Amino acid sequence: MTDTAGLPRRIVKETQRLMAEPVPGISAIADESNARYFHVVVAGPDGSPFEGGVFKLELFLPEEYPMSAPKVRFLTKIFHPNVDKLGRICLDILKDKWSPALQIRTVLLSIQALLSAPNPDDPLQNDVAELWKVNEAEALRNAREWTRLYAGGN
Amino acid sequence: MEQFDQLLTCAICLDRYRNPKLLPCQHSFCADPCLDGLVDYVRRQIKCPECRAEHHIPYQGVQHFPTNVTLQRFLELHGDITGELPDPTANMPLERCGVCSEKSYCSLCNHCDKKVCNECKEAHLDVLKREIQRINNQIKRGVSRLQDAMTSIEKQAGSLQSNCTNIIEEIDDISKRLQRAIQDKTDTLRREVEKYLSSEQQNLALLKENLDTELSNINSNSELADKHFTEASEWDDVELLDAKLNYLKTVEFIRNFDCEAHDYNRRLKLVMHQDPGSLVAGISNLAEVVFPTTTITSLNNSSSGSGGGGGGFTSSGGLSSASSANVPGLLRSKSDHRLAAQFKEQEEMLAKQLFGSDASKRRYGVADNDHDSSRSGVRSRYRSRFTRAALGVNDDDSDSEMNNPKSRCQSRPASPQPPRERVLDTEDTPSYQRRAASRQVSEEDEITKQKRMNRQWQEQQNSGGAVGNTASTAVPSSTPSTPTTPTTASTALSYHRDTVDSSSNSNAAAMTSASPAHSRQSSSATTASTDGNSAVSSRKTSSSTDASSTTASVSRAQRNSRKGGRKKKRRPLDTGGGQVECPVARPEPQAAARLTDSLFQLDRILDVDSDSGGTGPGTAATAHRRRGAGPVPAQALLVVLLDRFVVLRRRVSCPQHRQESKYRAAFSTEELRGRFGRTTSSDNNNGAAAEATTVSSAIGSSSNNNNSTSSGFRSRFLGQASTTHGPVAAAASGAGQQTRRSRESASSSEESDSDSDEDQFERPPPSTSTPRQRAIDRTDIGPLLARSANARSTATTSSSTEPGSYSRSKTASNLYSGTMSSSNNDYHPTSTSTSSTTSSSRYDSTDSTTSSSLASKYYNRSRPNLYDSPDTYTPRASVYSRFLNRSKSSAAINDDMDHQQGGDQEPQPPQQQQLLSDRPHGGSRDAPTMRQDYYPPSSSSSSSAHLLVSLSHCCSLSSFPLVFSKHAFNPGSARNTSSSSGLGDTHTNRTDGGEKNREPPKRVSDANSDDDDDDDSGVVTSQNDDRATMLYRSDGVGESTTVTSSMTTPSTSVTSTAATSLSTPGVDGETETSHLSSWARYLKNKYGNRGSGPGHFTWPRGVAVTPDNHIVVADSSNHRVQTFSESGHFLSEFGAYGNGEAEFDCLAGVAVNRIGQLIISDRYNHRVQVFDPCGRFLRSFGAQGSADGRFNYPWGVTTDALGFIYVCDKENHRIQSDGTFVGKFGSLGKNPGQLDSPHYIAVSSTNRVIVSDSNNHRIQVFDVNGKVLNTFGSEGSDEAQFKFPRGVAVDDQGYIFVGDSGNNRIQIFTPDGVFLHEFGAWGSGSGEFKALEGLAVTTSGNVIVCDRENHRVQVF
Repeated sequence: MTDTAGLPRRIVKETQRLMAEPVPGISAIADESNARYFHVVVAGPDGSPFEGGVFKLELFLPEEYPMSAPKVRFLTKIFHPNVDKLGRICLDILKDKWSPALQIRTVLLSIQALLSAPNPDDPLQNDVAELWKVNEAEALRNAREWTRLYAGGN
Repeated sequence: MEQFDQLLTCAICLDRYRNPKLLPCQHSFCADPCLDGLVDYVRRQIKCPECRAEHHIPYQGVQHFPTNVTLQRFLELHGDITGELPDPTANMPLERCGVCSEKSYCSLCNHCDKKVCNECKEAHLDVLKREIQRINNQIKRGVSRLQDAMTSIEKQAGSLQSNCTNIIEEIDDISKRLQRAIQDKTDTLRREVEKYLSSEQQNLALLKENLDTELSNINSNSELADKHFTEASEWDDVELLDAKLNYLKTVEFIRNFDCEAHDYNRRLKLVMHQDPGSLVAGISNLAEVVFPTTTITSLNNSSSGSGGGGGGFTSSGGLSSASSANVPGLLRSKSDHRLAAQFKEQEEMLAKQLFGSDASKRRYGVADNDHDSSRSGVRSRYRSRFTRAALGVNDDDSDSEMNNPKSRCQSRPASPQPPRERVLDTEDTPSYQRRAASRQVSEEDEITKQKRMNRQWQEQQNSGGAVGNTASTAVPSSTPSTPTTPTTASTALSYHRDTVDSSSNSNAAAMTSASPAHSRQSSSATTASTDGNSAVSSRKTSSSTDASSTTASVSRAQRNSRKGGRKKKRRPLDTGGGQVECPVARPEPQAAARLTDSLFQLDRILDVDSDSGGTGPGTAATAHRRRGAGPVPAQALLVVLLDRFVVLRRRVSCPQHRQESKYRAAFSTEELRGRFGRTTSSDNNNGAAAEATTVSSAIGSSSNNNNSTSSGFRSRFLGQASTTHGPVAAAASGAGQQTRRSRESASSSEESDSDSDEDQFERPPPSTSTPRQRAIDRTDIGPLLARSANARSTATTSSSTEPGSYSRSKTASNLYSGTMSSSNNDYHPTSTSTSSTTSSSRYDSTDSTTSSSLASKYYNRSRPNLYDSPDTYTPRASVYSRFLNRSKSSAAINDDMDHQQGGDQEPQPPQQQQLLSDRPHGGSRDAPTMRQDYYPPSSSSSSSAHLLVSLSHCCSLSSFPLVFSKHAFNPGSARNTSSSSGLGDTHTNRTDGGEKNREPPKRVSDANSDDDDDDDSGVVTSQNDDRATMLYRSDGVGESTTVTSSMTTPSTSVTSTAATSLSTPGVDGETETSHLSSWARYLKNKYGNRGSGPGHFTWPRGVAVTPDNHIVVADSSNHRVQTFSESGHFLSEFGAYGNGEAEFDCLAGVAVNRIGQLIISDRYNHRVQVFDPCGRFLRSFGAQGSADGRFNYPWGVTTDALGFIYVCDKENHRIQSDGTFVGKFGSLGKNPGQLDSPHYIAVSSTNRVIVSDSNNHRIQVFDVNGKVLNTFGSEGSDEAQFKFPRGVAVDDQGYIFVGDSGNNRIQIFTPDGVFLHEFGAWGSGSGEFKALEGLAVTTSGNVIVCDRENHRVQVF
């Protein structure tokens, strides 16, 4: 939040609103040195294999934002068919379905929803997706295990 | 409510709707920033952010979507309900910022008077703030001036105090003396009466006694007769007859006895030689302490005039108003400092501060100049204008100061008053008028502002000094020395001055001819001195020419009128005499100014000191009789100047002038006599004596301050002084030598005083006083001569003032012997009588031989005049004593001057260097540079002057010129070509100013270590500013020619070496054109980042290289073309948004043909524009469409060797060539020869057309007829595979460079499409890309890449 000068009003507004009315289970804090970079923490949604986990993400608002989608990446390892080893997320609204009407908040909510509802049909991590499709129980167990291992869940 | 709020919020900008536009899907968004950004220009569609519905954009753009009026109403309603202020920017259309040309909400910036965006405005505010700080610093620096002023004021206060106390003492003295005189007179008169009374009483008593005895005798006789003759006593007849006879006698006695009482009735009468009433009146009128209004007004005039002089260079009109406006300005700024806390007031303060500081700066800057020339001069000037103009506090002070002289003047006998007033008049008003006139002239003549400033000041000073001088020559009474002396002095001096006057008159022509000769003869070192002399001479000549123009008769007429004025005291004629002078005097300064102007370059240096001299008279003129150190130097300088006159005169002096001067002398003496006949001699004597004592005491005190320096000088000057006036007023000269002496003179004059007192009572013939005076003279002359060690005989002593002036000239020449050593040699041959050798040995030979002989000649002549009028002697003696005092103090000051000016004279350049070196400490940065500007022209040749000027101009910071000058003027550095190239390098570095400066000289001079050394040494020496400046100066004078040569020649060659040295790191890259293993490209350069300023890009697309290796970049979203040098320096830009000529809408490709014309594909305008190499529009062709010669989003362009233009008609999937449609090829498809969105195109030297068939992920090679020669590449990330290839380029050997946009790499192929190499990766680091666009290859093999998403250009 160092220099808001030269920052589009929209980003400022969004940041303020994220601080003022945080989304339950999600926190996004702008980096001190770069107002376009957000440190995001998403709680694993209840009822999902990621429940209890705390997932760190990074979110970057590119120059063209809001005309182009923010770049979001998982920093915490997660066993999810739509998240690859590097943490990249396969989410349509982050790609071609991006709309300027979407916001950081909605993006993070979508990611949270993605945790609740993995979509193995549109995979990024093929092996995980395969497992998810073939043996969902195994996959869920793995996901829980990873959550416990990496996301501090129990 | 919150939901209501939300409904009024645009989903994109999250702000209140601003000009909401309704999409067909019924969603609304702000028009300008939001919807605009959504537009897919390629498809001319817009996708609703809310529902993702795709809509076609109206042909005219998003602005033509219907406005959501309902929403707008709601917005207004909401505003009404909540009282929310409407967004000030709500109805403001987006504008392009006048500075960064970025679209945003702009507001007017007062700083640049442009509409700018907030960011730029903030930047401007920052600039303003910094400026304010800078100015404030200047103010802080300038404050020291005020402090100086304060100290000087304190000093003035002290001097004022002493002045007042002195006056009081004086008054007491006078009154005491008068009282004593009255007392004495009363006593003597009373005693006489008493004596008379007693003697008379004695006589009467005696008489009474006698009468008593007689009476008793007669009584006894009668008793006897009664007794004896009544009784019949025996008396014989004889006895009776006897008795009868006796008694008859007694009867007769008694009868005849007349008491003669009237004899004793004689009354003692007090015969008044003077009406006691008039005496009383005279005493009551004796003295007066007045604040003369005339002086004040004249001073005010002068202040406004001189104040205007300060501002004269800005505007000649309304100067006085400006100067008067300065007062509140400064004061206000002062007061505002206190109020600085509040912002608005702060802003006000800024304005005022600026103003105030401006004014004060001007003043300071000017004062700075003075500062150098002389401290005292500064003070006086400073006081005379700045004080009065700006500070009310000082005003009082100065006024009282000004008045004091007057009061002093008036504290003398009433009779000489009128002439004195006249003196004041002539002193003040005409001099200032003259000053003003000269200023005007100078203003007209001056070219540059700075010059004007400096010169103006000097001019003023000159005119001040010159006026003093000219006045001294042409108008005797207005001689600087006059104001200090009483009227007697003025006349006596005028006598002396007349001699100078006449001689200078007749010498004028010779002078004018002589001075240029001198200037011509001048060599760099001695120039200054000779120039100084010639300057003086010129000034004098100017004055003298004027004087000659007015003719001596005029001056005589003036004199006569003045004489009349004097005789008819306090009559209008008196002022008339003054007025007569004015018109005559006025042309003088103009001519003087003109002459001085012409000789200005030359005499500027000496102007400095002559200015100090000039200021002296100026102060003398304004502050007539300021006591203490202040005025004394002025007087001293006057004397010095007079001496100079004499020196000059001496050059052509011949007996004629002497005679005339003699005649004048006689005239003046006559005049004196006439005056004295009118005025009571006692009065004169009184005043003169008082004057003598006071002056001598004052000067004694002041000289005590100064006299610590060499006694040799002193004695010399004393000797001179004594010889000067010794003959006439030896007693006075005695006084001149020491204060003790002055006491003597005072006593002597007192003696004369008493003499004249006696005169009054006894009315003796004047001759009685004459011998006495003479005796006094003689007695005093002896020791004087002995002390001065002059071989001069009594004959010389008794001679007129002529020899005095001679000796003066001698001393003057001695004074300036250091300087004049060369010029003296010039003088001597021209000087008629004196030998060149004797001039140095001032007293002994010359004086004894030539001047004594001359003197003896005049001795005879002058004698009658001198001795006939004994009355004149006394006053003159006193006058001379005063004069001598002055001259003596001048000697003392000359001692000082020998420290200042002496350094000034002998080694002129060093002194200047000192000035220069002093400067950086004291003044602002500008000052030294200015100085540098000014000095060189005067001392060195014009070329070097120009050089220096340009130098000091181009490098405002001293270090640069220092380095440079060190280099430039160091002959060693200019020795050989290599070193000179190094020199030139530094030059280019400096002149380039910006970026090159930062490059250490080492880098440039890596090639030759010699250079390096030189450079380093230069840099090192530059560290100590002053030293370097000195070097700069001293070298600059001597080495000017070498400098110019070294300057001009290497600079050209050196720039090239610099260029090559810049490119040397890429030498390996050049060898790589042999396309072997080392394809690994080194990033040579990258520049640019997002933005719209010069050197910034927003999505740069096409790039091309001009024949002269400039890089042309199509800065697509900035709608302009930028040109860079090969090293990445921004050169130029052109183009703006729009669809007119030379306007672009997201231009894409750029190409340069053989003759440097720029071909630019104007993408959204569907046309191609052609510009000349300078960016001037030549033609355009094409319009939207798919017909031949029409384009649909033309992208890349290129030209072949024949000048045909090939255009990638992207959306028509074809290549068209040339504006007049020569041909086309390609169609949509994937087969060879078919194209899908061809983006870029390049033509090799073998006329192969290489097209990046982007959407087919391949490169196709055609011949010029459109026949497919080769196709290579497929979609993928491997070697020789592409993802949306964009830029293509071909080097002169046919190697093909492909910007593989989707893979963020550059691939290189052989001419026949065989993969060679690839480099680059995704990212924003060096050598990394984000979305490649255009590629270009320079002749040196550098690959220029437009890195679109990184908004930069990289060079490999």
